[in-house]
Amino acid sequence: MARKNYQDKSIRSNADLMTHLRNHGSAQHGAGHWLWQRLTSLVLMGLMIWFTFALFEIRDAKQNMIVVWMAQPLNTGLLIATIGLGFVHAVLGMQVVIDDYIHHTSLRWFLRLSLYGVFGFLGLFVVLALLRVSALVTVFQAAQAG
Amino acid sequence: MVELRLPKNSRVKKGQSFPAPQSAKRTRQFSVYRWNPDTGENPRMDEFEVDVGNCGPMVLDALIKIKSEMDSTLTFRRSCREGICGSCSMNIDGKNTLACLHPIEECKNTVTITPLPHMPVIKDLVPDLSVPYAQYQQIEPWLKSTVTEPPKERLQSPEDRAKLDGLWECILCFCCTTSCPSYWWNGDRYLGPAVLLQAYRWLADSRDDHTGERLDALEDPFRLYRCHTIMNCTNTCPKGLNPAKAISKIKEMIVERAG
Repeated sequence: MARKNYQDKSIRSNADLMTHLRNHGSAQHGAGHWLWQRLTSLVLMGLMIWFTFALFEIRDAKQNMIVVWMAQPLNTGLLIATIGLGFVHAVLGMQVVIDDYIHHTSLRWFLRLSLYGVFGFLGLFVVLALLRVSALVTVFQAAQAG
Repeated sequence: MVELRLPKNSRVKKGQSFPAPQSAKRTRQFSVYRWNPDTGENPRMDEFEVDVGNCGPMVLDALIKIKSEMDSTLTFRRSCREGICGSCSMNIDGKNTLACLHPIEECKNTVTITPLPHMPVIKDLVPDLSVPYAQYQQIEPWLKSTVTEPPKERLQSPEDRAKLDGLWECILCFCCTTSCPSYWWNGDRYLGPAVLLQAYRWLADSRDDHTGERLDALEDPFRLYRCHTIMNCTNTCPKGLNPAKAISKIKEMIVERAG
């Protein structure tokens, strides 16, 4: 019997189906994705609590004071971790949505790679921006002290 | 790609009505999905007014009564009528279950019966289950051991045997698999809860020593990791089993062996 809802139209019998399933084999990965999704969410829970308190603390500060706050090594590190892990978590989550709903193989790969590209670029941009702020403030403070 | 509407020839229309006999004292409305591949017509919902005063207590009893007294063309699978063969799995009032274990008393006023969701229909309430059967065959659901076969039985401690409880009771009715949205979207690659519970049944068996190979075969973003713990499987299982837990145990085993 022809399986009308089956994605691969060449499958017409149970023998075809078993061959198809065997040929597909196992991709031998997926565990890392699953584990990272959980690990990043755990760490992000802690980081978001810190971030909420931090925002509350600097709520009335002027821009220059916020920049000085961002440049403190611990704050720079925690901000990089929050945004970096947040992006990793977002990419992992978006990939699940793409893999679930996009069945066209080339479109799926295009969307996956675009996702990595866009978030990779944004992540790099944010991390470099934070490091630049931190470096500039340090140089400025050193110049003032000197 | 996901389709938001059913194809034109699959849209369900209003069907025929079958009133209860005059003598009926207590009746109940049954709205049943009908589709005949030979006529080329769209599927329809037929309305049967069943004399439940003169009928067994379960939904399957009502279906048998409809088939023998009202419309003999109604097609459905059934065998043991006691929840052990898994044949009469269908969707009753929006939930997958076994018709033979579901009391009419617990149904809504009008009992709506459709085949298991998102499977090709062969006729009326009979779905085509060849894909899940092939997937079941694929996990090699038999004891695989390199130990020389003992002259009598392979012994197992009561503790090891207890690890199989909650797994061996599965009757492969596929209520869980066909209730899983992940299986609806990726049914040709995701193995689905029933098959994964069976896979874990062999992973958990102390007599089986092919655990590594079995895990290798399962570690795949589509075969195993399409499970997003939606929990429809556990919610719908007519035998009260927990496929979602079995799947999470497999994921645990894969992480554990990595380090």
